[in-house]
Amino acid sequence: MTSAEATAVPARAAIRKRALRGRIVVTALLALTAAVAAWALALGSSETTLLEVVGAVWGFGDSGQVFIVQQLRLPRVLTALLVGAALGASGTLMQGLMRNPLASPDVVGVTGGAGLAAVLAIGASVPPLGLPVAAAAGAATATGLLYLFSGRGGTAGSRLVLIGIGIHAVASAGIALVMSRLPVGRLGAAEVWLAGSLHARNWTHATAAAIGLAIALPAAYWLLRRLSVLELGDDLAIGAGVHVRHTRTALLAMSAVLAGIAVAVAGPIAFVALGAPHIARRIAGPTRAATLTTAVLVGSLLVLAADIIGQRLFAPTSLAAGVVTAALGAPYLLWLLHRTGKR
Amino acid sequence: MSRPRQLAVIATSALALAAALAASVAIGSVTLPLGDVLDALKGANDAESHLIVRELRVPRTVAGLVAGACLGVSGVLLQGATRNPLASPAMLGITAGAGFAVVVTVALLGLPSGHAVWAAFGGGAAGFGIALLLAGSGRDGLSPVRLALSGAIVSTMLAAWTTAILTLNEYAAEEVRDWLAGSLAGRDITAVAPLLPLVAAALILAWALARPLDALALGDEAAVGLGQRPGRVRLAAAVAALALAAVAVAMAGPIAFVGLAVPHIARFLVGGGHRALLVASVLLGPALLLVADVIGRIVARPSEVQAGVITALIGAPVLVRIVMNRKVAL
Repeated sequence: MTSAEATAVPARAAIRKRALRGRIVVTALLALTAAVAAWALALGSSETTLLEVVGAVWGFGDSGQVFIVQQLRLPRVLTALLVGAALGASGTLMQGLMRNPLASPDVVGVTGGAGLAAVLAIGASVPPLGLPVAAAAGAATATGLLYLFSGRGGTAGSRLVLIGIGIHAVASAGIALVMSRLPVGRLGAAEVWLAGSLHARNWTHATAAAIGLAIALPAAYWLLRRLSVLELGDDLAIGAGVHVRHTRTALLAMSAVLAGIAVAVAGPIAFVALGAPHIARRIAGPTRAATLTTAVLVGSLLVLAADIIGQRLFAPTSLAAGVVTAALGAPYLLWLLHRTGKR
Repeated sequence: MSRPRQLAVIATSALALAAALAASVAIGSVTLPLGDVLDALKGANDAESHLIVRELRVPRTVAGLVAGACLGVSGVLLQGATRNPLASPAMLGITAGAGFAVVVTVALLGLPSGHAVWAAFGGGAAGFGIALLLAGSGRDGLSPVRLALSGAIVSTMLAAWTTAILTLNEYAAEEVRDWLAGSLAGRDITAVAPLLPLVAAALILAWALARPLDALALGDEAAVGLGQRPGRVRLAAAVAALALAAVAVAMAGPIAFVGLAVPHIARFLVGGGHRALLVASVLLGPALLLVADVIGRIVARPSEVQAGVITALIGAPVLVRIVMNRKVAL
């Protein structure tokens, strides 16, 4: 046995071990998400047992219960899961692209752009179905500006993040400006939407999010493989034949699409896109594909949990899921910032 | 930068401030002829226009004057002390901390808003401490990126907590919403009058710190060589900056970007010497804030847009411009 083979065997064993760990983590997360989702379906102002819920999902049991579960609770839970998945994937891509563990669509203004566009749409009394379209367009515009301002060589992570913070500030101010001009009747709708709420989400929302994810998520996986090459560093990546600039553009665009889907359906839900990839990296280890899968699941779980907490914590007053994620997520992030500084 | 040019810039800034002051008392949901305004200022009290000037516009103009000057000087001190182009009251968590503390005291504890000043002071100091601790804990010290990120995260977190409080307490929402957006309207300047000696003391301290900050700009070793103690200078500058920013927040709410943009505009006009910077910022800060306030009154007639919204729209592009400058090390 040569020395190269001797080191290759333990290395292969380590890879296999890591893959196994990834699979265990994913399975455990799937089980946990399913359990929390079932619990969420059973929660609400009318008491339902878990068994009745399982029946009602398939249309068995009391017709009132079937209606509540199928038409009210199920779409809300599914929307929460899909939105969380989109946010987790978006944040993972953006952090990989900017090589900055603190980058995310809500920090660099993508979410802010979507919010501004949506508030404008509410002001122009666009029909409800136009709102997601407007939000997605706003997310795309903000991303385009980010890309434009970062300019040649501006793909260096930190400059992009700072420009993004500037874009976010302009978008926030724009939102405040539009809000101050809105007639009182529409102000409420805008405020509810801006808080990042899953309240009254129906099958239209869930279907729209599902279709968007079905297209965007496979693309994200494909881009992620190219990203792994990118992460070797720009010089090496050129050597490996990957067109750095185009991949970066595609990554930024895909991250924006995913964030746009989430914001369009549920409004700006803060910190999930930022936090989910970190949690995923901690529990899944550093392999790339595993991180994305785990981040998608963690994102789903976070949004669903935040929605449940928001509904129950101060019942009968309910807090928007976005408020819960921001209030609880930010301290985690501050700790993270502190820790990355130490390293 | 040559002395005559600096003097010319400062004279022009003073004129700009005078024009902004005049516009602030004359322009609003109704534009008043300057003659009426002057009569009212002289003490005439017989027409509706006089009442508008004395009861509404003079207080908010004074509030804008004080808050703008405080923010501008605070930014100069923070940028000089940290040698970081992005340092400013908002970036260092002072604004967000002060804002949150005011909401807590007014909404949760039900204290009258006269106490807001002290809450703003305490909250600002706490926010400042957290952001500095986090941003400064890295190997590379207070790097602009870490500073901006910690500022952004602290602000987002406090904004969410504020939203949560306001969702649960609708009565408070009415009272503080205007203030939270950074509005100069309806300021009770008598509540802030006791703080004016504090502002004066902080401004004098800032002036005394101008030369030490010049030395600090050459690097800590050079500053020691010039007989300064960098640690003490930084601490004194931070205390003065905190005091000024807290007064500004208590007066006008969390106004964004004035503290960031004004020092940069001043530096562009008069160069890097701190004495000239301080004088220019004391004039340009209120000029910018008052112009923003006047714009806010015009664009949404008959209602109005808070000054903080307008300053963000003007100031955030300045931030992007600073960052795009390749000479700024990140």
